[in-house]
Amino acid sequence: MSAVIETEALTKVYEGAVKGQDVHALTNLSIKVDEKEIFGYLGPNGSGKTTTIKLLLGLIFPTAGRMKILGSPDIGARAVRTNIGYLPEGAYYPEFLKGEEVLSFYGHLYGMTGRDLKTRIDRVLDVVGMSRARKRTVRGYSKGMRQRIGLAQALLSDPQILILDEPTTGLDPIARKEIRDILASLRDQGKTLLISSHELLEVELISDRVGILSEGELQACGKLTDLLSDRDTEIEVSGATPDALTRLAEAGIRVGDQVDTKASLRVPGEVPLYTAIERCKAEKLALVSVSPQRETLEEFFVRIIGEDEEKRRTSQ
Amino acid sequence: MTAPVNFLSSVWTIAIYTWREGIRKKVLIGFLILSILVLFGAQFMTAFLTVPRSAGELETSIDVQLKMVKDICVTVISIFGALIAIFISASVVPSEIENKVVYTVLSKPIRRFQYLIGKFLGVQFIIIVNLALMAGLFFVALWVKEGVLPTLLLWSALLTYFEFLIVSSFTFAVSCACTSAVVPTILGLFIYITGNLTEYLKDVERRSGQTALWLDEWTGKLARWLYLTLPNLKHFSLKTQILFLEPNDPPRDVQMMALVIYALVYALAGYIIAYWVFRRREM
Amino acid sequence: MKRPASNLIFSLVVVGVLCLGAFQGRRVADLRESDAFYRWILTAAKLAPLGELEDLTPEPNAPDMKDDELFEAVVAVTENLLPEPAATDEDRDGEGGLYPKLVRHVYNDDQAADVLIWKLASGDSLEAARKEFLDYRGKGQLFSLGTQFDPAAMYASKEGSPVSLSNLFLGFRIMAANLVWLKVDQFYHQGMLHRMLPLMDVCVRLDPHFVDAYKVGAWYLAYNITAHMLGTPEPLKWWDEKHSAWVGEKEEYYYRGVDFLLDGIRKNPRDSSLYFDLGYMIYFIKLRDYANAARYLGNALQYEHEIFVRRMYNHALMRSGQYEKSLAGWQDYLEKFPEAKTADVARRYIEINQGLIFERDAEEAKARALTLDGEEGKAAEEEAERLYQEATRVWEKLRDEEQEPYAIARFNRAKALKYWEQKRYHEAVAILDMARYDSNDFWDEASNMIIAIKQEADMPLTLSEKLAVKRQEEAEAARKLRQQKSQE
Repeated sequence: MSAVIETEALTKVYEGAVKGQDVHALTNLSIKVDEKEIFGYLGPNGSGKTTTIKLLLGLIFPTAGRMKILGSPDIGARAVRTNIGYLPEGAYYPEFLKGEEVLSFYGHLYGMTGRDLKTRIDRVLDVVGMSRARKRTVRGYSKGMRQRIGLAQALLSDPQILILDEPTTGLDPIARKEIRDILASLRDQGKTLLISSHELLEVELISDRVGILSEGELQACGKLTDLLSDRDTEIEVSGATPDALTRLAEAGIRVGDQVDTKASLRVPGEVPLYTAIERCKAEKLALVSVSPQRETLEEFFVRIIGEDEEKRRTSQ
Repeated sequence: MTAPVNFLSSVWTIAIYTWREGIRKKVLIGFLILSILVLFGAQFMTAFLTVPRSAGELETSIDVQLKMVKDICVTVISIFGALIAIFISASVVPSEIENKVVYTVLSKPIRRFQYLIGKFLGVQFIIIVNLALMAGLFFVALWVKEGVLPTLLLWSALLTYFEFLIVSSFTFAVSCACTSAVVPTILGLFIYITGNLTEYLKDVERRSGQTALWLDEWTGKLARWLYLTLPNLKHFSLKTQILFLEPNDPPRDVQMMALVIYALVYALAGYIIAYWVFRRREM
Repeated sequence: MKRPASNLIFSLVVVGVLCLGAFQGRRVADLRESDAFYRWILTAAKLAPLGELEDLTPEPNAPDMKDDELFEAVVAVTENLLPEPAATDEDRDGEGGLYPKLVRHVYNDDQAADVLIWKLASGDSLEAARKEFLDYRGKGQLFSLGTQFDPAAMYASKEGSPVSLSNLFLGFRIMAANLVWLKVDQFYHQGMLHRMLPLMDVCVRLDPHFVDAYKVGAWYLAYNITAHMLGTPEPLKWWDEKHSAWVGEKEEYYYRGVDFLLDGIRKNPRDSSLYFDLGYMIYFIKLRDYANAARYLGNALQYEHEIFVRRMYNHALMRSGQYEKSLAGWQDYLEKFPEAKTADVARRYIEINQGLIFERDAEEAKARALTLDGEEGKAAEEEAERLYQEATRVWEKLRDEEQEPYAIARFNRAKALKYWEQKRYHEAVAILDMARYDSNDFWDEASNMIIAIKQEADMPLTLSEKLAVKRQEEAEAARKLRQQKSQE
């Protein structure tokens, strides 16, 4: 698999008005996005996700470092741009235009005309499920519909790469699900997707690989299965007393949420599951359920960021 | 498709889009309606102001009235036209950056150069159509009133457009460096007013040097330099001629071609500055 | 990621294009300046023969006016460069000297010459003069500045400092002038002259091309304002240096009207109606200064004018004793407008002028006869007699065919003169007394003749005649006294 997006020591510094007030939005970012994968680009707000995307699109210019898209260092080249679809976060589409007119405007920018454009618009509207609303003006669109039109314009040129900035933010759960389904189907069509998000669940559900960004630096990058440990087990018990739980904790079992006498216990990989069950038995706890647990991205995220902050604190 | 065709079609698409979006701006429509109201109102206002008291005064008052109508109309066209030109040139780029349409547009396979030309052309369409609307209305009114085709007015409208071209190109250049339309609008007004008062600088130069103070002397020198380099928008005004010549006289004392070239050169300078600023601008 | 090299290129390109713009601007401004200069030359050439280029009454604080000097410099250059213009009868000044070629070209209204003058005005040969022109214009030292359609000239004309009133109104300067004018009108109708007069000034300052304001303003000054004034008795009149005339209260306002119109003419030298109003409405009607009236009416003819301007010009010529010119004028009028309703008037006045020429020649012959002896004297006397008869025939014809009152008056005047000569004083006086009621235009002349006859014959004067004589004497005395005083 070859990398379609590649950055090398990409750095972006926004110069402050006063010397020393420079903002380091991105520091030495090196990522690779492979062909036909969904790359989840994660990080809290202000971590540099949008900066990276803007750099990739040539909307802003790097302070240092190199970028390659589809193997070409000239990211503004026509061939490159035609192969990138971009959905910005919360973009505005001219209110007075009809859905299909918006697409026709963007299509013209790609140099598409006439029948080509028309069939292409029909196709993308179909893909995003907006065929019925195509004759309505954008003014009357809901947020989800606007996002779909945005997605449609990103898909217009049938690009190899799709860069989506927070595609599901602010949408209701059903709309999220629908967008997610569209994205999954796009991956199935062989497109490469780079999805930025601060909502981990979204990315977790569809990403092949993720990059995690904090304060402009890449914290982790890799396949989900590599990054997340899956050896934990959750045991749900009832009839727990605080004393019993304290003793269990001493034995290396992490105690999670408690409701009345019900408690969920987390058994780390290094503690044998049977041992844990024996201990529960010994404390006279009733076993409700035993389920293997994979670390959620959220937990991973918190962990990574926490470690990062710790590192920072110690280095200071 | 070949490269130049592609280039032009993208520019054209952006220009048309800018025009379609621009003519929907409420402020602009407001200005236009206001100016049309004044153009109509001028007729009644002056008729009311110049009520003749006797038969002998009738002729004079008709003449005065016509002159006032012409004066109001020419001034209104030039002021409102300039306001529209300034406002629209100041707002197209910043508003697009503000609502992020620029992200989707610039991530398409077009260069910033093309984008800027498209925007600039769209602005010019809007200015031309507005000017044509106002001047056309005045043209018809004058035609009906005087019974001869006021061709002089057409010349005046043409020159007025080139005056706006200069103002709009510099306003546009400023707007390319700004995130909101406020600063470029103010600067645009400043350019318009300064450009119309360039003659003052000559006066400043003449009056300086009366004292031996170095400040005085340098003010004079500065005034001279500014006088030489700033565009003199007064050159484009045919108002006096419209007021005092017959409506179908050819324009006098005006070097049409020289003025057109003059305007085009300054507009080019404005556009180059705009591109210079916008080329490496971070969105 | 700075790119100093490309920034440098961009700044160089911008500076280059701006320089190009500045250069083009310079070109436009140069053309504009040449144009202003060209228009000034035309205006000055028009004004020069009228004596309007000389600043006869320099105001104490005003800058030294250079119109005359500059025009001479221009003429000095152009005299060698311009071709000889076609000859017309307006080529010569009062003393018979030929006007400069430039002036003659302009008066001929020759299109080809206009092109040539423009070339000179914008070319190298007049560069020095042009520079001087711009300099003087900047300093406000040209009162004859043709400000029409030249904002820069208007801006720097001597009317007030540029950073003042006129510019406060920015775009609406001319409209402001119109509004001010409405106010002038209102004040007039309310009888508030003291408020109206300064506003009139403001008005034309705001809009120097507001021709109607000049015309109506002068009419207010010369007519409406003076209508309620009493004539100033002769001894109380004072000498007006500026206009070389004895003036009273009324006359002062007449001359104010004259000055107002002259100002308008300077700003709008190509508007016929201003010359007409000055010549006819004021000099002719009010001041009865027919020589000046003829002069300005003649100017009015130079530009697009109404048909009556010609008639008034001819009248003024006749009144000022230029009968031949008047005769030619009427003949020309008849030729050009044979269908006009006023063709009859033209025919009548051709005859009247003819008669007046005979009369004048007769009187000259008679005067000659008195100085000559013997044969020559006799011949002159016969000549005079013949001319008198010619004149009388004209008057008789007009009297019988047209019942022309002026002709009747002239006829009777001739008769009275004859009686006077024969010392039949009572008959002469009786005829004149009757004749002066025939024609208004004859009244003053007849009254003066009656007084002269009565004094010669030692006849008693009527009360009004005594008064007239007394006024005349007082006026003479007063003038002598003032002249003595001024000489001291």
